[in-house]
Amino acid sequence: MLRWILGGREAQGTVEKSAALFIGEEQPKNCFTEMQVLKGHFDIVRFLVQIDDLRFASAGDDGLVLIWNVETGDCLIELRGHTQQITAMISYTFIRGGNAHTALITASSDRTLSLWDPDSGNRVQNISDLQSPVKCLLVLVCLDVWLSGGNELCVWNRDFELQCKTVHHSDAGISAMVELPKNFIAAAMDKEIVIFKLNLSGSDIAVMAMRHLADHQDTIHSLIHINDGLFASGSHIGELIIWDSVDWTIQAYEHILWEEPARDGQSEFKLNHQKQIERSIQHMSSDGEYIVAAIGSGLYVYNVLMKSVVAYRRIAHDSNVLHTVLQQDGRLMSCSEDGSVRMWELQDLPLPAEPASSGFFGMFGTFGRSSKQTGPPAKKIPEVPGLRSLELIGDLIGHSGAVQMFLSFKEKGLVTCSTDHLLIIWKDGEFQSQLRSLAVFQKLEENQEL
Amino acid sequence: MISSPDLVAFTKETDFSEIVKDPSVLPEELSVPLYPYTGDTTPWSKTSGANFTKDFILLSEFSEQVGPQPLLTVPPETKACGTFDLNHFSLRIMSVDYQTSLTGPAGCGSLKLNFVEDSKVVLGDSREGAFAYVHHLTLYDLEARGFVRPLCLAYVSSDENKIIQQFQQLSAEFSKVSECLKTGNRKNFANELEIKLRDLEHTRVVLLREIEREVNNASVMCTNERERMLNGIPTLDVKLKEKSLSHRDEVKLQEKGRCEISRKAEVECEKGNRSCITYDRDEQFGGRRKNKQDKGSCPTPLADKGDELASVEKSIQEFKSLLKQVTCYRTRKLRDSEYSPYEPDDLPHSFEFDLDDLRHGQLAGPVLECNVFPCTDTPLHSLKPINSISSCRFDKRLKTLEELCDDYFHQQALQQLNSIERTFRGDTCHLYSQQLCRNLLRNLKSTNFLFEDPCDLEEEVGLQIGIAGQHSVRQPSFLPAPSILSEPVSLESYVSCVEMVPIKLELGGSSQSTAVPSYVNTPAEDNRPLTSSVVETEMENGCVVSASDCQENVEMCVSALMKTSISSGDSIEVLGTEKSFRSQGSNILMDTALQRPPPLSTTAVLEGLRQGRVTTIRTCSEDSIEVLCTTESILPEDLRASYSCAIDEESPEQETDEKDISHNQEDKQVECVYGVGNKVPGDHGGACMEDPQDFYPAVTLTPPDCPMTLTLGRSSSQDACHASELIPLSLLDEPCRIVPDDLSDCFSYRSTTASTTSECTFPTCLPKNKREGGTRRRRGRVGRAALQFLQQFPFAVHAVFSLLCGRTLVVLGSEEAAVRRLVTALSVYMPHLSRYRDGIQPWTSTPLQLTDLLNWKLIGFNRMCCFTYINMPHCLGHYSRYLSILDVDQKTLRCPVYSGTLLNPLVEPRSHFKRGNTYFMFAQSVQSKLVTTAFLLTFSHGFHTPRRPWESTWTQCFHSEIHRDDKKILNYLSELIKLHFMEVPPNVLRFSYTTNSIFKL
Repeated sequence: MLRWILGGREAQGTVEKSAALFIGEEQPKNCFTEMQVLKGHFDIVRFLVQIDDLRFASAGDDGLVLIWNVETGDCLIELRGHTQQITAMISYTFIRGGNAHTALITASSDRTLSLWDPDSGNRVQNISDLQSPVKCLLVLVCLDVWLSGGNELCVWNRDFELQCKTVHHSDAGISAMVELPKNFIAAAMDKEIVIFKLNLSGSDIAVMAMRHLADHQDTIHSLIHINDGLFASGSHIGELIIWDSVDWTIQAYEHILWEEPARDGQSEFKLNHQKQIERSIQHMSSDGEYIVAAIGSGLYVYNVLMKSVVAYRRIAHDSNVLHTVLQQDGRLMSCSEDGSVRMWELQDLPLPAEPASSGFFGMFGTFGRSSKQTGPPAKKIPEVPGLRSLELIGDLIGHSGAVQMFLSFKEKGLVTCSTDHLLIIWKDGEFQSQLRSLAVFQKLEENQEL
Repeated sequence: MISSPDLVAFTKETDFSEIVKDPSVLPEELSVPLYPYTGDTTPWSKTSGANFTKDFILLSEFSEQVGPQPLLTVPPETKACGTFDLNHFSLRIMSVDYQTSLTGPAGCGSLKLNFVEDSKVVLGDSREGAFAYVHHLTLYDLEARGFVRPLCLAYVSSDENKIIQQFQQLSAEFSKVSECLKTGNRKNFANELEIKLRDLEHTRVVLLREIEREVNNASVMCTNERERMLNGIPTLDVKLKEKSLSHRDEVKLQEKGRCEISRKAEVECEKGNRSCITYDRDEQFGGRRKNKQDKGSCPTPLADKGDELASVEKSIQEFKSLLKQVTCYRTRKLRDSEYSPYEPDDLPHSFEFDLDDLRHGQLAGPVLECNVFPCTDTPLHSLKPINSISSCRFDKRLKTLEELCDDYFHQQALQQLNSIERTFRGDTCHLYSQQLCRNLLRNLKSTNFLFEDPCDLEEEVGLQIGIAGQHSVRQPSFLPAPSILSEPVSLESYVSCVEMVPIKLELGGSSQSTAVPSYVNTPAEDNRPLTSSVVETEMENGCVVSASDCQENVEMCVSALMKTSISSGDSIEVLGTEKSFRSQGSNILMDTALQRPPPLSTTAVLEGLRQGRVTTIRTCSEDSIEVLCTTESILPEDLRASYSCAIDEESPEQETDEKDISHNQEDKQVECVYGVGNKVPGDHGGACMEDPQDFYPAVTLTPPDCPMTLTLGRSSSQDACHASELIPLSLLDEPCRIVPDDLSDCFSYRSTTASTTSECTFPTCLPKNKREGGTRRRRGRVGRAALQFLQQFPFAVHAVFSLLCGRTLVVLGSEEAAVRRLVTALSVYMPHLSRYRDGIQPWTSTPLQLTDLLNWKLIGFNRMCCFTYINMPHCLGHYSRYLSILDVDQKTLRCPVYSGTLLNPLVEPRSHFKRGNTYFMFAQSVQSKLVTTAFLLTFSHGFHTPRRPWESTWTQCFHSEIHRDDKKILNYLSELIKLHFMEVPPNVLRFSYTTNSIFKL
């Protein structure tokens, strides 16, 4: 306590800066104690794609694709060729000569599509003069074809030969695609989801639209695959719909209205900012059972099996959440425009009979919990029985711009990319230290100096 | 720390006596020897009788016109030498010129250049109180007698011990200067030769034409043209034009080839009278022609023309041979590995091209003028027939040094001289301890980058060579004596360059009765160990020396020897020569490699003295110059071998061999552990805890680059475990002893104290010599600043903790001077990230980026850089998790709290230290302890993979007894060491999530 009394100004400044949440300086559950800054891009870095256990590719608005080694942080290869920003990137693994090769497919605003060999850095294939820029890519491993979605849907084979394409749909174009069973494809086009079917007759492939699902009231931002039977879509106004993959029926519909807790009269502050609260579902991720949706600057965890809300945090970040990942151990990570990556843990709420605890934490908000978040869930308890809380267990601060995306290499680290042109590899300092020790002794042994 | 006299005074006498008793203690050769003088002399009581105040470098020349004369001094004369008589001293040092001349049969056909290595001698003039390292060299000058210009470089000091101790270094440094001068001189000399050759060719052609004409019209009188040719051009004109041409030729040569410049051998002119004779013949030839001219305009007989032609052709042959010798020297010299030629990069062609041209020209004959030098012919160069009589050489102006030597090289040489003067400036004690430090530090390759001054670590090639392993420095006064005794000397007579008078040398056996009785000579076949001969000598001198093996005794003997030799009145004595030092150095190398406490074991000495030595003393010098040992100290075998080739040089094979041997032994000794039974055979662990039954359980660390062994007494380690104080400290304070490894890692308290010197205030941006000079002052300043900081801020320890655990410390303030001062103060505590990055940004106004945090660990930050956040600039707030912030204006510090104990000594003694220098070195010693522990942590195998149960003793201690904060420090240092060892640039930012506190004054 003493320190806050002594250094009130600084402490306040920090709290003000992260108005939503302030985690204490001690983060025992945060294992990322080492960072490595990767420089190489000249503009916003938007995409990260894992190539194998060791390598990943990053791409962004400068049109560059860089391949990095996650262990050393070395930039292995620079793939140059695109003249404008890259709009989509996907890895493409195929079998050739008995060996699995991983290539990269990139799409750019210069209306080109390229296939890169990340080993040699060669631009293996290139298609230019597309009619429209490609916004999303999807690889169908079972058919060994890949799809590009722009204003029309194109199907390509491994050799970059156009197999078929749909007619021009609309100016909005396809923003996201999901593979469904039985060679069906779900594509998000503005407010509706279009189900396409790929017809295979011999070596020819034809594509046709099967159905238009127009249940969303606003533009669909996110479309994800949950499991074999379900996929989900999220719209700009906070509609979360869970669909059946086979018969395309709505399994669940949630309209997430962040205003609801604000109506409880928590504070004038929130009422004042009510209109500014973003409800758009920017991103969703799923592990097959849970969905985590990034809604505005909040997070929302939904159990698709129970069809119930598991936990939510209305203000998880100071700004819009851009990317989320649900990890196996009940933890999830999110990154945001505010430049931070936060790690969350699903925790059982304290018993409702102990309201004092929330008050305690509210008063002394420096123990890793925020006063502002413990309130609303506590009030929710009577309404939603299985509700758990989403506790902040750590945050990564390093980027000075929005963190666009992150990519986890498990124990090898976490890669984040940002609008500040940088990539950061966050690593477990202890683990890295041990690795270095091993390397030292390995070197000693190699030199036969032990 | 050892470099500081005031710390020497702190050292207790008892510390040393303890060491002697304990068998596991630091062996003598690793300990820092006290000043070797005992008894009546102390380093401070010595007064110099010399009438100059500072050491200086003297360059003098033996002018063929006026005799020895000083050319220049560094620093300039007025500053340096006061009332010291330079002329007199030049006379003295130049009169001891050692040039082994191999006088071939007189009148031998062609000119030969004698490439003799420079002679390096130590001369003493005890009446003047001046002692000098004298480096004789000769430059080429086509116009000089015998083509040679004898020069000498002398490092003059009033302290003979300084000269003796620094002999290796001086020799190496002066050799570089000499190489530089000679390279430049060879370039100019080759130019000169070429011009001369061209003129000769021209003459030849003209003569040929005339002969032809006369054959055709035998009755025709000699033409006006010929008259003009013979008489018309005065000598002076020719010379002037040649001079102007030489400038031209420089340009031309630069185009011609780098080879010419890079052939860098020593063009040491033979003083050989043969060349003189030839030259004279040349003159006679001219004179004869003059005579002919004097005869009048009567037609020259055809026979005379034929003679002339023959003479000219002979001259051409001779000069070509000279040129070839000059140009070929490089290739022969290149096999010498230590030979590092100057190679300017801007010379595209090779010099051989010219040689080819010359050969071609030889064939081309009459058309030579137009064809032979197509690329070199410049409009300015009109070929001059060689018909002029050399004017009397005593009224012609000799070339100055600038003319003798190519400008670039001349400047280089002057710069080097200045740098030498700076390097060796100051008290010998200081100089010695500084070198000692550097050599010790050099071996701490794994860790020395952390806190040490980069200028102490930089590889100084010259010094490295000169040091011959650090042993010559380690026992400086021990070095010279035995070698002087056993120095082999050629039986050949030494020929003075000046007079060509053979100076008789007496064989060693008989010289025992000569002027300097202390230099008893070992008979030629005597292979007795050095020590015994030393002892014997001492006996004869009346000094009582026990025949013990103790090195100090030997040292005393040696110093006594030196003194005896010097005290002989009005004379210049040659106190030692290079080769003697060198061979001595290798002896010691091997001795220490054998790792036995008796410093001079018989086998090693026998190894060193493979060949019998003959000592000679030159007795016939009139001006009472006593040659105590000879320059080249060429063994008879060497001489005979070199007889066969026209160009003589000292063959370095022997030393190379010896060095190789010693290196091999060093390598083998890497794993050796002092004390029998200390080492577990076949243990491949980096740290092998010894069998508990052994008396000395040891943590044996053998990292590759600093082979060292930490032997840890078991009892003390147990003590350490149970002691209430921290393990590493107790480890370091006494029980940790070092194996007498020849590579001598120092891990004792004293030697870590010795490994002093770090200066973090941005030394890398300073030129080397400035660093040399100002290091001490700068350290004092930094230390004072640090003391001031400690006094000003009672919470300083937390800031120091931040620095030492790798957390970037920002000194925030609005006043640049104050911020800079604090940054300077804090730089004392900051570990360097790697050898070439010091991680300090003393003052910046640009908002911090994330990458800055990786690069800078200590930042002076301008509060005024952004006006919106008066209290805390936004970037600092954003990265506050990674930063400690010392606010100068508000006198606050925001950083994690330190509650360990390791750092306390660093900040506690703030009241005890008055002098900045002392505190600086004290801080260094505390940091050295930290580094040592971190090193142990890094390379303890058991720490990382606990395989054996008994291995974990220390690691358990580490975990259980070391405070969390201290662990952070050690881990951080350990990480730096690891990265350094793996040669990975430190490109990661390590941090921890800890609570910050705010301290307010």
